Amino acid sequence: MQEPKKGYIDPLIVAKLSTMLLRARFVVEGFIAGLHQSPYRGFSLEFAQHREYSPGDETRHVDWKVYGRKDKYFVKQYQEETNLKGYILLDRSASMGYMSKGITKLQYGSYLAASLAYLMLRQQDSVGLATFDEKIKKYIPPRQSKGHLSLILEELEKLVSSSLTGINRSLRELGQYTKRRGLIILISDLLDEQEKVLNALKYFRFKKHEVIVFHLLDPAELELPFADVLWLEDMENGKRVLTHPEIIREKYKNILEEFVETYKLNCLRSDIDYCLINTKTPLDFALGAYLARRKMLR
Amino acid sequence: MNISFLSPSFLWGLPVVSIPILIHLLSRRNPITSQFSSVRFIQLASTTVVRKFKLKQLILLILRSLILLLLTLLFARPVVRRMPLFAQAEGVSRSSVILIDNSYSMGYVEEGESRFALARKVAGRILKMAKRGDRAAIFLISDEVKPLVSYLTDDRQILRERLEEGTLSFRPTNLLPGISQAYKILQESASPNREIILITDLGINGWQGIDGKSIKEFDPEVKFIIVDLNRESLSNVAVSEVDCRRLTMGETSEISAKIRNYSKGDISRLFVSVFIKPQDSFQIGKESGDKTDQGFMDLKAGRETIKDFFYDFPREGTYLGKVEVQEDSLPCDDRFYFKTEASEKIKVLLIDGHPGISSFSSETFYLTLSLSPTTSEVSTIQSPLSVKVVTADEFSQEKLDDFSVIFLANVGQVTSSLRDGLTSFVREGGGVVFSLGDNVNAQEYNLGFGNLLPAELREVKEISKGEKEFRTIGFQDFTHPILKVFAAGKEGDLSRASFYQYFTTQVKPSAKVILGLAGDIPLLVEGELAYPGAGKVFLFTSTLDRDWNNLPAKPVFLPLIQQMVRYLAVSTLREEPGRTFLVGEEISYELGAGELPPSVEIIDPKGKKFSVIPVQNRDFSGIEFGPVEMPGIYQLSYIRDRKWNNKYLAVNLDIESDESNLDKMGTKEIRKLFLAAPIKIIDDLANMEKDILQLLYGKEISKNLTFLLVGFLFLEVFLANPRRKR
Repeated sequence: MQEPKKGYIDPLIVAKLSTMLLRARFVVEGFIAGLHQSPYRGFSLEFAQHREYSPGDETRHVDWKVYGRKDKYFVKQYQEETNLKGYILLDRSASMGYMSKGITKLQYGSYLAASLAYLMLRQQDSVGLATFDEKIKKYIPPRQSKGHLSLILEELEKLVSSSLTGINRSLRELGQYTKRRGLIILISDLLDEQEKVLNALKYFRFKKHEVIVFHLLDPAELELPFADVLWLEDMENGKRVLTHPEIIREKYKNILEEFVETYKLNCLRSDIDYCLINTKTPLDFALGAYLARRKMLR
Repeated sequence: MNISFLSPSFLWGLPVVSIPILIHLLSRRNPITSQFSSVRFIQLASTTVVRKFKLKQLILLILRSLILLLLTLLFARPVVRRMPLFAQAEGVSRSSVILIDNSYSMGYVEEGESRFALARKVAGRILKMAKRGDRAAIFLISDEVKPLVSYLTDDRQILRERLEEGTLSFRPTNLLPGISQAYKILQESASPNREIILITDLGINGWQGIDGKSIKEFDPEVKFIIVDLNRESLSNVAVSEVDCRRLTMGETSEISAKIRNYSKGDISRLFVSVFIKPQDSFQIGKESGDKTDQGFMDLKAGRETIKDFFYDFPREGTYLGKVEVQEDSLPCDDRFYFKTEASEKIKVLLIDGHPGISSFSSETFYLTLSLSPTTSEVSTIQSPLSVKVVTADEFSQEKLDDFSVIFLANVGQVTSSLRDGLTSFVREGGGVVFSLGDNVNAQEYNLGFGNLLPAELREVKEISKGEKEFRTIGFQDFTHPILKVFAAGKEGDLSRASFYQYFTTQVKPSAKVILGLAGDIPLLVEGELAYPGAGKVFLFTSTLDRDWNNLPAKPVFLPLIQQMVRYLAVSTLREEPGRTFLVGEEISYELGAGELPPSVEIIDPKGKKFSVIPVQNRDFSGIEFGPVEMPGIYQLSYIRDRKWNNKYLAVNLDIESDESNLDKMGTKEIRKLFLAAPIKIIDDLANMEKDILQLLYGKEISKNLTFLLVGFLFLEVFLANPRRKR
């Protein structure tokens, strides 16, 4: 997993922001400000606005007329015409409610979803949201309107973790709503039957959808940092296991690594973007993964 | 096996063993419950790892407890005893009786050292092991118990000095008296730590009569340690007997030596020599003399074989000699000493009481024939006997000293000269045979020869020949030397002779019936004068011709008469010439009639001299000394009639005791003999001290525990600090 660099946006800071809109804007704008190249380079010829040149922009987009008038470099920006439908599928099962420090996986996932929705809408893409546990609990179909963002953010705002995970079923269910080719973004801890989840993801690829998987894991899930023997209670089924963290840590990490590697390998084979995200990871780091995938859809 | 501790107070520290368990119990806390996204991977990881971990933890707990246990035990200094019965009371001195076998089998030489010398060294080593306050007594045991230090003492200097004085004996082994003595001495000791240490070759002959019951003083609390010096696969050959009866001039003498092979295997071409030397040229210490014959012989394992030597004695006299086999590892039984007499022919005087016109009709016809059977012209064999026949009238002209035996055959005249001559003859050691007949008057005989006759004559008993009634010999004393040859039946059957007439007699209490007719009728009676050195007298109650019986016509007559003559002739020598004495025997030596010397000087085979004063009583006139302790030729010197007289005795080992048999008693058999005693046999001399100390004081196992402790520590470190995988 890629380690976040200094200067990126700490999810804990994001969590302190009052509304989801603020959080999304904070993440996305901060992210964009850090980019050397504009992410909004559209394909249509309809002019949208000027933006001050920043190093890294292609010189062919410099508006020389404006330079002539103002003696400053501006690049032309165009209103992009998009036919991309983005579906953000957010896991809200009970296991997503786990946090070892500061922020739950669900919170992280919802910030990520909000940021992605914001970014996508800002790129003139349609974006929809589906939240699920055993099945899809809420589905907001993709729209491109600006008011649509508030709908999504409102839903994310009131999101709480609930029940057992059923990723496979939920993905199958989503399949019924995605008739046209689009971008499926799965945000989940993927703690479900691995083979079924992979089959469902492959199904989307089969339907020519682009798929990005954000695999969220808490640092405690990755490291099992507990010192003493303790009872660990499963958040989904309530099962209790007496755990000797010191003893099993190595073995646990091996099993987890194998679990992650299986996802990574299978996703790679199926041309699915897989992104393992530690909830300590800055949110904008996750956005980078999205944009990389977005380019491919162009 | 039991365990005791030299510092048992440290055992109070044993509760520290529970420290790891207590720490474990005290450090156990109730685990908190915490929520976790999914326990699926936790479960997977726990299944094998936790089980292994718990097992490891359990092993570690046990290891740590064991480490503390070992530490505590190390301080307490544990001692292990394999034989708890041998356990000594702590801090109490020991009382030991050391018995050293000094029987002649201990003279067996191995690697240039006799077993006895080794036994003394072993005893010295045992004495060195003694701690302050330990007491010991030392005895040499063979068939006699010889104290070196007869009381329990802790004076090591005395013990060491006396031990050095101990010497090997030439006696056989009899362990019972020595062991009994040891128990008796230990009864006097108040110490609970008492032991008998027997250093021996475990020869099988020494254990007769020993069992838990035969030792009155037996105490089951006394420990019995046997140090076994006998290594297996031993070979030994002994000369067990030399047969050299009275040898007479004129015949080639046969000397038969019995050689016994005590080895497990056959021996071939064993070299045997015989040395014979006349008494007058014999010198103590140089008894070997001239080798007269030698030869080789083969011996079967465990068997006795006879080797015959032949020798022509050059002149009359006493001869001393020995038969010797080539020396082996037990040299003392490789030779057998003997003394023999070579004399001119035995002279026999026959007094014919009824001389006939022809020799055939004379009373002594059959006697003459039986005593000189080889005087015919065709025979080349010389008879060892010389026979002279005289009438009763001619008797007074004979010099009786020239004869060894006198036969009176149906002599009717009991003259004073005859009576006095015979009495003097018998007193001087001569032998007389009275045979009766129709000339004999019972009353006159009883009056004239009453002091000589072994029975009082009564009357003549006649049985009619025509009625075929006769008496046969119904009693034969085969133990008597003259009848021994008839015991096996080889020389004929005396009972086939028929007797028609005989004298009835009243046998004197001191006399002995050798032959008797059926119906308890004495036929041949032996008697002797109650006078020191006197000869023997036979009374034959029938005739020695065919007038009253047909015995002279039977084949048994010749050997009977020959045996009688040889037996009576021997008595003129005052002693049996082939007689040898045994080591350990008390010697009684007759000096014969006449004035006794004031003292007799005795020189033993090593030339050591000592004097003995002769004793004289009704039955005995001679010297008594002994017991003799060494084999060889002993010289007895005394002055009699102003002349030096030298007599010699041959003393040999008691081979019949089976002491020469070097087989050893089995361990199991010894244990059976001492069922109730704690007994330990030590055969590893190199580690003897260690074995004895371990037996008595146990083995301190601190060293072993230290190794174990270090091992446990390493294991603990290894288990508690596993190498991390990179």
